[in-house]
Amino acid sequence: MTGPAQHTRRPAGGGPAGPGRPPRWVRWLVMLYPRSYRARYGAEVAGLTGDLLRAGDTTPLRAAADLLGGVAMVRGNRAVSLIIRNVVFTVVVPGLGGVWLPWRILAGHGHAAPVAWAATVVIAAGAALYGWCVWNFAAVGRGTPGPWDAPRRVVAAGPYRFVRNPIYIAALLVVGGEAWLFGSPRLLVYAAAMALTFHLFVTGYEERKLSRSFGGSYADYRRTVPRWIPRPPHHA
Amino acid sequence: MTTDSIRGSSDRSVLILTSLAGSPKHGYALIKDIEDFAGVTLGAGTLYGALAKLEEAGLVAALPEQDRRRPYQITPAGQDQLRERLSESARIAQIGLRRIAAATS
Repeated sequence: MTGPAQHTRRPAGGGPAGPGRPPRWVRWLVMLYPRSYRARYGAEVAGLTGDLLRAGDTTPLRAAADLLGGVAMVRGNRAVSLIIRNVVFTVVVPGLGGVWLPWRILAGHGHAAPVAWAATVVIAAGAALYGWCVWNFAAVGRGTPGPWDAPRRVVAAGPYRFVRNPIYIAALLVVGGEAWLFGSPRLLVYAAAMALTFHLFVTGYEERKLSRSFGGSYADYRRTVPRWIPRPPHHA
Repeated sequence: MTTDSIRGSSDRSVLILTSLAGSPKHGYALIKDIEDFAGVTLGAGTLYGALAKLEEAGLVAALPEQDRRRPYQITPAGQDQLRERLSESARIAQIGLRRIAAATS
């Protein structure tokens, strides 16, 4: 059967049918580029990645690796190493203490059904606060939350303007929220033990170490921002 | 920017300049063309990483956007640079091939 001239939706020169909006995760990865590079090339890189994905020329995994490769070309390998160190820390430490261990505590006592869905808001708030903290540790301090790979300067930005130890607060929100979600007294005890451990660690070790490492700049920060109870930043 | 700094950013620059030596192209057309003539598939992140360096060095220039895609063209400096690098590669290729032939005959 012969018909009229066949319509093709592909523009001359090849390529998928018209540029569209790239997936959200592509735009998030493009955020890792330096601001000036992003302003000039960000939309093109994201658009092209979207085109390649839509055309089936690449897989999400390969596209993500390629975008990170691009970030390494522009920012240098140290920045990409910083991103990977923070992801690894997040999977290992909060992953173990905030997800795996609570899950073991629940599963070990036949307590697996959620009873209070409102608690998910608290868990989400804790997770978001954690993300905000990590972003500031990485972007401002070039480090991770791990004491063995800590920021190289006092980070007084983001949530650190309100309170000195927001990551510990985030952890307590997540685990406390989990205790509420599952109505589990055991998890509440676990959260209380965490809180006590955090307090002893902060007062007994971390604050002394920060004073030794950063001296005056930490002393100023310590004077103006409270340890545990958040307070609006003081605009002098 | 000198030959050395372009050389440092590897063969990707040569592939991009070679592709643009034919005609101006936007990112997607560049990737497809390089795939066709070199069998190398660049991703968007690595393509633009190299393209940005070439633009900064004045070896390629961006054209006005068409249909939300921006084409790039090679500049006269880019043509010079490409000619120089490819001549150099051709010279080394010739020596290498001659030596292999001599060793296996």
